[in-house]
Amino acid sequence: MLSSQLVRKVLDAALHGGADFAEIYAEESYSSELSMVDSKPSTALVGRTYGAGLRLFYGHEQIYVTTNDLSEDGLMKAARTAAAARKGSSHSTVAPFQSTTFDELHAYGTRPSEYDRDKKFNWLRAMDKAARSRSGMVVQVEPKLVEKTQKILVANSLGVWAEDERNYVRSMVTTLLEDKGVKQASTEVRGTLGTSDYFESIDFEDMAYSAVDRAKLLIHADYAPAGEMPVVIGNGFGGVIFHEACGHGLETTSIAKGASVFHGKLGQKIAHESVTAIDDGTIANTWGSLNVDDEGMATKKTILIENGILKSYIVDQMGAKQTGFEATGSGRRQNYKFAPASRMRNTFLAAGNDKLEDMIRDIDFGLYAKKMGGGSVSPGTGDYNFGVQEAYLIRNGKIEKPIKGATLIGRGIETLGLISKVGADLTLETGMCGSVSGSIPTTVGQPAITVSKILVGGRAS
Amino acid sequence: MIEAKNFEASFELIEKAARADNAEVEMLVERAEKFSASYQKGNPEKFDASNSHCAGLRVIAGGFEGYSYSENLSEPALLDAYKEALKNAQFTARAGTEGLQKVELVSDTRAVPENESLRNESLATLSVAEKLDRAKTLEQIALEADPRVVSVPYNGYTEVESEFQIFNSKGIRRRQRKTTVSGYTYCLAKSGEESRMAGESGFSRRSELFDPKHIARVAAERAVAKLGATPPETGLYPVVIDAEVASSFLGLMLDSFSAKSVEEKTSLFGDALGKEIASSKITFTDDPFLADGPATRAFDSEGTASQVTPVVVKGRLTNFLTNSVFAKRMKWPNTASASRSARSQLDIGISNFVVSPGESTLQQLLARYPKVIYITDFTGYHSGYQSGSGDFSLQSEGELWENGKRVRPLCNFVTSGNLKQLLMNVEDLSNRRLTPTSSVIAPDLLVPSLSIAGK
Repeated sequence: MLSSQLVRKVLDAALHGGADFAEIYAEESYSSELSMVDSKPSTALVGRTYGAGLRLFYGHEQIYVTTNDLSEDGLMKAARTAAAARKGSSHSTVAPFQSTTFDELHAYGTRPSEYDRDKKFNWLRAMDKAARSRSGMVVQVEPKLVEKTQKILVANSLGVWAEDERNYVRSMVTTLLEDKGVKQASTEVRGTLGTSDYFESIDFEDMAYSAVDRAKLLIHADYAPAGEMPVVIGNGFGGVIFHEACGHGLETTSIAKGASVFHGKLGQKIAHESVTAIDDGTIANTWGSLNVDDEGMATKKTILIENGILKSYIVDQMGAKQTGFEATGSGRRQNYKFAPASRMRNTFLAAGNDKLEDMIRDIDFGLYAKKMGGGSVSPGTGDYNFGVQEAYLIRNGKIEKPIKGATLIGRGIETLGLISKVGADLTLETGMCGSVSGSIPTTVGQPAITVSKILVGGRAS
Repeated sequence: MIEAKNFEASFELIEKAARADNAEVEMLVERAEKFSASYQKGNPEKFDASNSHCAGLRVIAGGFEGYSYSENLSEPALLDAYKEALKNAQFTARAGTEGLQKVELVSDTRAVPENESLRNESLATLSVAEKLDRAKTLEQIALEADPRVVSVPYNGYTEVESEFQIFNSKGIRRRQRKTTVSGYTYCLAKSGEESRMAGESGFSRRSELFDPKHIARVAAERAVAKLGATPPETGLYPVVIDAEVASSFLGLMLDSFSAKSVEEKTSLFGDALGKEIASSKITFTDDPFLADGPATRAFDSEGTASQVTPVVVKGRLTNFLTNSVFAKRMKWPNTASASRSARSQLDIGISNFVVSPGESTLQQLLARYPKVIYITDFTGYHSGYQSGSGDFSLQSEGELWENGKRVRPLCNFVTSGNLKQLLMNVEDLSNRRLTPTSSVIAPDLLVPSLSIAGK
């Protein structure tokens, strides 16, 4: 993408103001979005992202300058802007570049830009047709394919040189049902770190059926009750609760500021002993995986919590400087417009031994949140909230009926301590995580778990 | 000031290629120069500067459209982007012309001058040191305001100078430059083991009107005011939704006022044109000329001259928002509400969406019932709102008021209901008008009964 001579010249110029460290992150990306609405093509958009970000460290201070101009003139101008932002006393120089070595973990086939667009449309049409054939209540179907190829180069004054290509493909279908004036929407998503040929393995009809069936189940369901109760959180996307309630609080972006309830708790028991949590960037062709992170470090598997004991934070290079902890290959960013920050990769709770049937049988009155929706957290307090896409009321140890409109709220560190059972049915699902360094692909996952008490925001009577 | 650049030559290059393919093209160019800075514990934390540009192409071939964008504005890259957009247009034509109406570019070539009030040279008068001092103030004043404010984990000062240009094959040429200054402070307040976060943000078009001290003080006051909060008892309560919260909350339903959502059957009000959809106290107006509005504009994203659109008048739905494509398709007036960035497709969007204020004060609303919950924060909009049905179930913070007096702060509760029903049930609106920080501008709302899930 850029020659090593040019990169060296730019980093040299950037260090001219006395910075301790200089880094360049250059990127060329291709993205494509195709969708249908009303059984007709709706979106046909292709984009190319092109630019670089230059980062300087002066102690714990960070200077970040971006440009769309990857010519020598453009990059040197950005370097001079960065160098002029502050004066430092360091005499750092650029070390000889050495390529970061990593195992090529991921297999790629035909890139999104090369794959037949008409074939992609046939998949959209298949989802649309399947959804409409599933129920007469379907009033709208929006199938969508989103793809991206991201080529990056990271080099820094410590001699790091890393180049990588990441490919992401994702399909989703949203269905809207209407009956007797009541509307209900539902979405199904599949995706991977991979190329367009991944779609050949997807059963698009089944995806559409699942979305319609869930909306049918909920359209005339009663609203969830309100108040505190035990909740069984289903496997797969249920892992979003750990992601939001705890994962963000373990990122050094929050830890370094003391703005996390997990600050200072390394080595302490912070969760029920049945809880082991992992953040693993090395799983082949998995949505949140990387070869190298966006700071040029080979990615890793990080045990965050082991049998309830906090073992590691999620650490980027600035976080390592600020906290003294070793970087975990977790420096990530949406694109060159964002300076990297400590972020999650594939984050999940490890499987336990409990059975879902037993978890439900143990509850007199509570909620089975089979499929979670999205959520958010305030890392400073650990207060989280989640929507539930598909939920059932549990009464006397049995599933009584589907319910809708449930939101779960609580405080992460308290919820961790209230996990009382962990199932064996671990699965992973794809998500997009938004935070200080933009929106990035992250995997969430877990087996089914029981939390003995969560506030369910349903309807009071 | 952002250095002027003319992209006419780039457009001519693309238009020439389009003519050879018997196609038409619309090009949007966005450019921005941005500066931002933040502080931690009295020391500079971040200093960001960016210089960005992007061209977005909309190509119409045989009446069908395709899109592309490129951040590389070299001639070969723009021609590649043109070819991608053309391929997308041809793909759209092949993929499903049945039932898909042909589209045309806007052809109103009357001059629409840029709104000069949206740009100024006030940023040029500030030195880098003064800018950094503003960033420092956003943290420092909050920390000094109250000893219970222990840190300001999130704060930032940002200046943006931007430019937006539109060209199309029918002769449209539009240009708008903007200057904005903004900042935010989010404080962490602690008392014993209890910690609460709250924040404030501010926005201005003129540098000298930006007040970082005010932002920092308000953020600190809000964080401290939350200490001691406990959940309310679960039940049904009269609720006052704070004006700032109401702005973001009502923003959830804006898509429902778009003609596109009507055609796509996703609007909550699809069959309600001319009918009552809200309490008679409610009037919504889309006003692109509002002097202090964040979304004030002289023209929309297709280049059509802006206009004021009454959307709901005294509870009655009077207009859906349209662009040229949906105005034609739905046979409704073009409200000049085309919305498109260089990186997106043509859509429909609001400018400044104004909720007309009422006559009561906030205090009077809070004293209307013996016991009232005053909502000061909703979070989790993306997971707690169902756009298909209007159902919401949102994590909330607030205050309990009894007989017009504040009793205690509230936390860890969920407010639930249905937005469509809530609009019908709004009993009153306050006369409070905050300085706009978002493009929805609303007063405080009083709703006589909402479900509250607490302890």
